Amino acid sequence: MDSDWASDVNDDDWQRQVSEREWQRLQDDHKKAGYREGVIEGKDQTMQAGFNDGFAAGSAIGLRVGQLVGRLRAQLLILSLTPTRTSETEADQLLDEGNALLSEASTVLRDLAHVYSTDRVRAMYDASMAPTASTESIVAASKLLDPASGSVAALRGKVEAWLHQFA
Amino acid sequence: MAPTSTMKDSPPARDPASGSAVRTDEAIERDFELSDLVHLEEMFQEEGREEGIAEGLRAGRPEGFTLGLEKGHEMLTEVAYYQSCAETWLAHVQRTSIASPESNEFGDDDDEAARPSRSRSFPPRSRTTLEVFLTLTRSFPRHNALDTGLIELLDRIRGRWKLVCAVLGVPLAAAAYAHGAAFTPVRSRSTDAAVAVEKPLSQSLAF
Repeated sequence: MDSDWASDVNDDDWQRQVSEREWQRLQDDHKKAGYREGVIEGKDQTMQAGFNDGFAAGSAIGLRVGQLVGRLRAQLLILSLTPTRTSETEADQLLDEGNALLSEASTVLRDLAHVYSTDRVRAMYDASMAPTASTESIVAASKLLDPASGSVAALRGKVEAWLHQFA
Repeated sequence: MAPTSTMKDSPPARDPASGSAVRTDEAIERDFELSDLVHLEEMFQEEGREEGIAEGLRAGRPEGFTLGLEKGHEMLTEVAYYQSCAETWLAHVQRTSIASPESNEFGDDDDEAARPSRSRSFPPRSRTTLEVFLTLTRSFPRHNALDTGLIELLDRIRGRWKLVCAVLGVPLAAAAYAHGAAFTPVRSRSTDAAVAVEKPLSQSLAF
């Protein structure tokens, strides 16, 4: 009798455990499926606004870097491909200085790309977001990138000084 | 739904006294379980969906911001590069034209005589080509304007850049932006790069 009683209890326990597991699995599976759909649906509603803000902020810095690199390279090519009043030695020295600035610009760009991809920029932007203010959000986002664009300002000073020699 | 149709397949039990159909406890229990289960599945899914939407709304904006930041930076750096190159060359053409009004050659006649191998002139079309090109680059929006077709516009600018380089006789390899070309060192004028620019226009076009 004892063993039958124990067996009944064990069967009940086992069945309850199985039921609970099944219940939990049913709940988890369907919640997960719904969650996945919901995340996509939610992102669809806000991602474009964030992209637009980011595009404006990124283009403002890109414009500054691109202008520097363009002016620098165009002048280097003029120096390299055309006759000027400078001697070969002077021209070579100017080319060396200009090429060093190009290399520096390349590093600045690489560093900027690294900054953009950090969670810090994303988190700062996220925290600064006003629910509806889009113009303010762009300004806020641009301010976030000021530390990153400090290197662009430093490069600009050097490039301007180099270009000044041709003015 | 499949579970409901399965239930209908089994013939209903009949009450022996009245002869009317009755549903067994088992059938009632199964019916309850199946219909309730379908409802529960939907309920759990909806519960998960609501959580997902909240998370998506929160995560979408910063995720979009990061993407936009990279894309805006990448595209405008390239456009500004072409534009500034063109502006610098146009300023040079204008400056040298004023310096020697009879021709728009680089440098002066003394230098030309001293270094005849480096003699180099921008063709007469240079100024117009550069001005037309600059009109195009200046039309590139600084914000994400979906209706203007940014990618197509950038492609057009790249195509026109090849034309600018060909007209001016600047080797495209030396003036290209893609794949880090804009950051490669510019060689001395005594090297091959300087010679390359003196190729006729027809050869410069073959890139």
